[in-house]
Amino acid sequence: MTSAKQVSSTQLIWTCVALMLLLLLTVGLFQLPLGSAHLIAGLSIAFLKTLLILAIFMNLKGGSGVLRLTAAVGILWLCFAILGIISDYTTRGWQETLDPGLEQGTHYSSSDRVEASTAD
Amino acid sequence: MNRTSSIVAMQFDDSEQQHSAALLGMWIFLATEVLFFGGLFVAYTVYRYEYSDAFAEGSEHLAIWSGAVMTGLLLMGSLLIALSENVFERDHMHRVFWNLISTAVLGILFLSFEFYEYHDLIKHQLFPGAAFHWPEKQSTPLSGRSVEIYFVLFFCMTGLHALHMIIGISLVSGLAFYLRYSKNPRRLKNPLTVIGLYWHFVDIIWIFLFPLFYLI
Amino acid sequence: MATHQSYLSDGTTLRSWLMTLDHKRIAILYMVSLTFFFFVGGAAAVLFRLELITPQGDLVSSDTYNRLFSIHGIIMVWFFLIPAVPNVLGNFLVPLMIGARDLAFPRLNLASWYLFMAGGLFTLYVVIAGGVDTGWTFYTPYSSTYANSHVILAATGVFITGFSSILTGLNFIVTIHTMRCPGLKWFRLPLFIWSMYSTSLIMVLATPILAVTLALVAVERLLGVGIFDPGIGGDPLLFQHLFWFYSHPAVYIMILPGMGVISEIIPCFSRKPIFGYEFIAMASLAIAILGFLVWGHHMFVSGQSLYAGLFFSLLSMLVAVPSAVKVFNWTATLYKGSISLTTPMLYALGFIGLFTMGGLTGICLATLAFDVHVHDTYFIIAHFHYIMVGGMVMAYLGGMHFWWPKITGRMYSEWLGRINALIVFAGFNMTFFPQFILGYLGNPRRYHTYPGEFQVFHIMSTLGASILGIGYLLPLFYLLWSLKYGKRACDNPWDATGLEWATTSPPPAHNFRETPVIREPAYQYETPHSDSKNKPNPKTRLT
Ligand code: HEM
Ligand SMILES: [Cu+2]
Repeated sequence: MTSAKQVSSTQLIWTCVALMLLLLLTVGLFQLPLGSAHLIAGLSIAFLKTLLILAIFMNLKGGSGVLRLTAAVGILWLCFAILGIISDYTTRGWQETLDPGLEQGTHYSSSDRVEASTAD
Repeated sequence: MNRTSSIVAMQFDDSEQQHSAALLGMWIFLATEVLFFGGLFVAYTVYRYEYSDAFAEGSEHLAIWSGAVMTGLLLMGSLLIALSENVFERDHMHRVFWNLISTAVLGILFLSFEFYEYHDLIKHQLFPGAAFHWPEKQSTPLSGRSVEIYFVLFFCMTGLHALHMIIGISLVSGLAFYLRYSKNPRRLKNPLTVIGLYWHFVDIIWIFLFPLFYLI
Repeated sequence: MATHQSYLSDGTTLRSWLMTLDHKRIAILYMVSLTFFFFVGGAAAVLFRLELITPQGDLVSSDTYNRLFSIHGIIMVWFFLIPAVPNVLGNFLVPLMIGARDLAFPRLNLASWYLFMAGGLFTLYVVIAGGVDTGWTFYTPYSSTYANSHVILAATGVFITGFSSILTGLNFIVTIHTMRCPGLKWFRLPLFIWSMYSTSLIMVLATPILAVTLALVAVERLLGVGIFDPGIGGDPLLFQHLFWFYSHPAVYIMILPGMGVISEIIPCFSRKPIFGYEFIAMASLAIAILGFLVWGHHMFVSGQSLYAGLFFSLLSMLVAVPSAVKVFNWTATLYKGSISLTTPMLYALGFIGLFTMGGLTGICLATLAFDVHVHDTYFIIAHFHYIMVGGMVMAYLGGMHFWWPKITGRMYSEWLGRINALIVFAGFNMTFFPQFILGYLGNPRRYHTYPGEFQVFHIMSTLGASILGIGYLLPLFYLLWSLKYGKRACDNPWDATGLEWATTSPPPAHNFRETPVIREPAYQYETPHSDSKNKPNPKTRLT
């Protein structure tokens, strides 16, 4: 049988322990005053957990190359979507004309479209 | 693998081919699912970028400990289902049955926490739509609305996740009983693997939802 | 050997069709339903083309006009073009071409058809109930807040059909990966399979985004919250981003399969191996991947940042490269070939010309400055119809004529077929070429009235459309006619390579009597100068 080798039970249990520890770590880190670093910390730990689950629980470790590629493609395409779209939002309103005589482009983001009286 | 005991569908040459087709099919389905949730993650990214303060305010209405416990429940379930594949190989069908049942129970517990949380939010008039009420709504034009968007995303994303949980619980418990009463349980190897993958995937989605909604 | 009856005689009851798991029969189910939807969508087009004969709005009101073009777009895109080649020809041919007995998941395949029909029924209900007026693009906040037509119903129809195409894509990918017959290495696959594979990738990776986006529109409408409505805190551009993240790749769902068909027809009727096989195969994959990175070119003038615009403009130019590679390879295959102008070949040649027009104008549009001028004019309509109708519908018709003998075991009238190919080509150009001019002169799309000086172009366009209509109706008759009165087709009437031609016409229920084995690359046509030209290919492809 060429398909994936089983992962041993002890390995599975240790993985679960590691996942639980990571969970405690996230919650623990959140108690510290890290400000905007919380997002980075939370996401990195989530990524670590994901990798563990993918590799061990879902047995990509012993899986064929095609399966790994499929998993990678799913994540990569989501990154395409997020990065492509957020790159629009983050670059709005940057210097849009190099020619000093020309007027700057105006961008209306959703929050400045609403007059106070009509909101709600 | 015991060849005689598994029935190979007409279109396949042997059980090995059938097994790799089932695995690949499920992984592709999961890739699709990543993008299905992905649309919502994109929306989350954009609004978190635009309304970061509102998101912080909204998240204060969620109980971190509850989210953490829910994560723990899912992880336990994942462990059990992964173990049951090992046990299956050794033909302990009885233990497979109980592993699957426990996974399903953990899933139900998860949903109970989640629905309790929904209940609480609805009671505090934080369900988006006409009933949504945000006390500081009037202070700046959009503060109420942007917190509402946080809750729209919260309910959409966790709701879609809960829907997946419900499907997962039905699959897992259905499989458990099917295994128990099947004359030839070894046939169910592919379904077990595939349903296991699905469960782990739903787990991963929650692993991201937890920091994104609770830990802001 | 009476045991090997064809798949068509394997049960004749309605139930044996509606519950079939045979990919070939499911293909026929799709063929019948798609043809129906095509003519429903076409009927809407007839009505608005009639309206556009005069500059005033005298046949329909502006509101009806909006509903007509919306339903036309929705049906043609999701209920005809996207499923056309993959679900009809692909379903029929993928297992045959790779020497398999069926797709990997036959039940799932049947389920996709039922999902497709369920989505289709929603859409037909929308038509009966009074229509939807958002255009096929469902742009917010109009669709989510203001439109008082059946937006949710229409979105549900598209949502459900989306799952049909996801499941089909999944089925194809798994089948191509795991079920190729012995000796059929990746680079021996017919190019049609490569294009199906790339198309499936797009279906699987893009469609879920559309599904969730439409679901969000529905949530917004139902709850009255501002996900996409700027008035209450939402962001309409987010909708456009998500929509085009699906829909630009989806336009490649609508062309890649056509390219696959052409890659089969051209070498067969030039009697030459295809030029640059690997390049065409890789170009399909490149299109599938690059096609995901250019969606912003639909948003140049809608308020996206200039930098995103530049980036998307650049990448859009890049995506034209693999398409051009294919065009060059097809023409190089024609070069010095011994060309026979059969019906499928006429369609294929038409495809090359019209697709090139559409692709080149696409590059023009990807240029920021030019797009500002022609955005939302008839120029856009002409651009994408050159690709989707001039390209894909031509390819679909070409493919239908090419594989008709295999599918049905009958030959159609070659003479009528050729005449019809010319009618379609002429009608098409007469309909859509004037629209390039209209757009360039500034006639905006989606209005039922227009300034009088444009009338002559609109009249030409409507005239062309009626010729085109004949070109679409005629095959319906002579192909159906051939079912009963056509000459019986032999197993390989075009003397083509490819496994589908190695089995009987029509094939038996499980495709092959014994599993074929492949020993050589695809498209081993004799070069025209060798003297064995008319003999059957001496190298056995099958053992
Ligand atoms: C050669 C590569 C291509 C390029 C560079 C290209 C570029 C463009 C651009 C820039 C637009 C937006 C114009 C505007 O709205 O102002 C556009 C619209 C469109 N293109 Fe293409 N295109 C290409 C190929 C295709 C293909 C292969 C298809 C279909 C099979 C297609 C279908 C469409 C459609 C449907 C629209 C209009 C959508 C709408 O607004 O309703 N394009 N194209
Ligand atoms: Cu595009």
